[in-house]
Amino acid sequence: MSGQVIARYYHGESGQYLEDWTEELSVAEVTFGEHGPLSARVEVPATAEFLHHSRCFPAGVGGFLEIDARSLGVPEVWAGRVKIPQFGGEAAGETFEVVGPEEWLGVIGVPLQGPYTAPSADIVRDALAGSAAQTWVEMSADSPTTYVQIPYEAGGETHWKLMTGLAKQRGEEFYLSAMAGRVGYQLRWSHPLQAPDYSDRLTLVQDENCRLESSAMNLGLPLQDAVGVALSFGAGSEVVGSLVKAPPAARARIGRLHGLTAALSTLTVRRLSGAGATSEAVPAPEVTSQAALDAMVESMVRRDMVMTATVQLADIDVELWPLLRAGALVGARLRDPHRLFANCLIRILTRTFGILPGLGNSISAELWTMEGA
Amino acid sequence: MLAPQRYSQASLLHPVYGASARDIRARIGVSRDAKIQEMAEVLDRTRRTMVLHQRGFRGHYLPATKERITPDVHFVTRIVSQDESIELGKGASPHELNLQVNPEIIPEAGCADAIMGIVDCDGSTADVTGCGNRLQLKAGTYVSAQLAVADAPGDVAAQWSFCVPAAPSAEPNPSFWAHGPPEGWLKLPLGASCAGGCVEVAVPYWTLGGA
Repeated sequence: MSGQVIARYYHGESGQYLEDWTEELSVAEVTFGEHGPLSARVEVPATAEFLHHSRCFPAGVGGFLEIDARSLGVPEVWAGRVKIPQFGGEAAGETFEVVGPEEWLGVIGVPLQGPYTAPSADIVRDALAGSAAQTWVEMSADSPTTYVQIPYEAGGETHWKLMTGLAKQRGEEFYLSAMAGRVGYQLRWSHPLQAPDYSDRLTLVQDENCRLESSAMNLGLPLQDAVGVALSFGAGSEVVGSLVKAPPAARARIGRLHGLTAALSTLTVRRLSGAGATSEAVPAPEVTSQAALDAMVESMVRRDMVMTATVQLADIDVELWPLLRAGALVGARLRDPHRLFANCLIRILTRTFGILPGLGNSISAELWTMEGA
Repeated sequence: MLAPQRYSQASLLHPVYGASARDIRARIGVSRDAKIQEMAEVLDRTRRTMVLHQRGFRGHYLPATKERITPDVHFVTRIVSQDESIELGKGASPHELNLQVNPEIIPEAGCADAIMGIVDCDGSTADVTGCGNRLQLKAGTYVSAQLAVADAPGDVAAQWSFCVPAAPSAEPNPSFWAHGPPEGWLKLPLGASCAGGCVEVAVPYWTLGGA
């Protein structure tokens, strides 16, 4: 695959295009996390003209860096804010740590107060629309709004905490896609069960189109049930907890898919003693409604009832890069000693692409289901 | 498959220190950075909830006197009933306080302004309300009542009068009297005080075994 990387630099406050860094980049690596652009590392010669403070961070304000390597196979544009330039004395180049939208969305407060029961996408859309500060984020039109509607306390949060809190409490997920040619992100809200399935087009086979760098599991005691304790809801109530129980089927403990689709039972318990839980009660003072507590505990059980099994793959064929999409399901045939990944579906978690000086990549993924490729 | 490369520790592609390796360590629970970040998030959420939602109990406010009844160090305020006319007790749940009036102990002077509505001979009324209770006294054709100046502050006085005819010719129809016409009429002074300005009224009388 032939092509070149494009690096554009934008003003950190106005978003105005400033100049092109393409010719000066000596190192460029970008990482996409589960929520979008996560971090990037770029290196430029110390002699580069644009390193002068009046151009690199005019009036002390940093800038946004866009790295577009789609012509090289990187599936999407990476963009983030230049945060920490570091220069090491005698070094020939300067390294920039560039970070994704969490950097500023984790600082800007949301203009919301009180419990909201709307779908997550609607809550976040309102928060973004009412934000006094520039967030550079707009909600994608294809964000469905039919997911869980439980009360969520949004007061006093930042945009990033609002989004991650909603996703965690309701068992949903979101992704920020950087736009090319300007500073901006499309936000899409979804559910893990809506993960794009590329298993019929892509199977990662060890030593054929990828290399197994490592695999790791957490075999700690999986959750069979969990009790969450929040506030004393309503007048006249005692301590109220939510008890969620997982099914006892042994095979359902392997593969994230089984955790997401397992039939769980939820009970409200007024006294915690004798509730029958095998795990400790999880205090959740930030949860202020019974429905929100139920959802939070259920989300926790679905996440922790399944053994965590992850792999790190590297050196995937460049021709396959465009299919390495956020949260995508792909087939895998790997020779791990436990035979978990021998013939399975994995879900892509993070993707890192080395663009300069040479092409390279690495992804992390989790076991989706053992029945696969 | 791409050819394997060697990466520096600073590289995001490093097999141990890179981004993918960091993500895997966080997910299997062996990343100290991830644990610290999770703890920081829990702490932040808890602090926010304490400030925004779990406001401390600060007692009661008395709007009439603009006074505050503040809780003690155990966040407790005491509710007392000095004369036991209000009985305090537990309600159906441990979180309920039950208040009820003790009907056997009603203070004599506990409700100084409790009185009365008065209807006089002309049918006009004069209401004095107090304590939420109202005693209504209705006078008849030949009796009237009206508010009077009380002897002591806080008391309410009512003055009763008989509405007798102004002249014998205007005596009521004898059939009105259940025991027959009166044997005579007594002239009596009535009023809140007889130091002066008393109203002299005529009162009919009968004698036992008479007629």
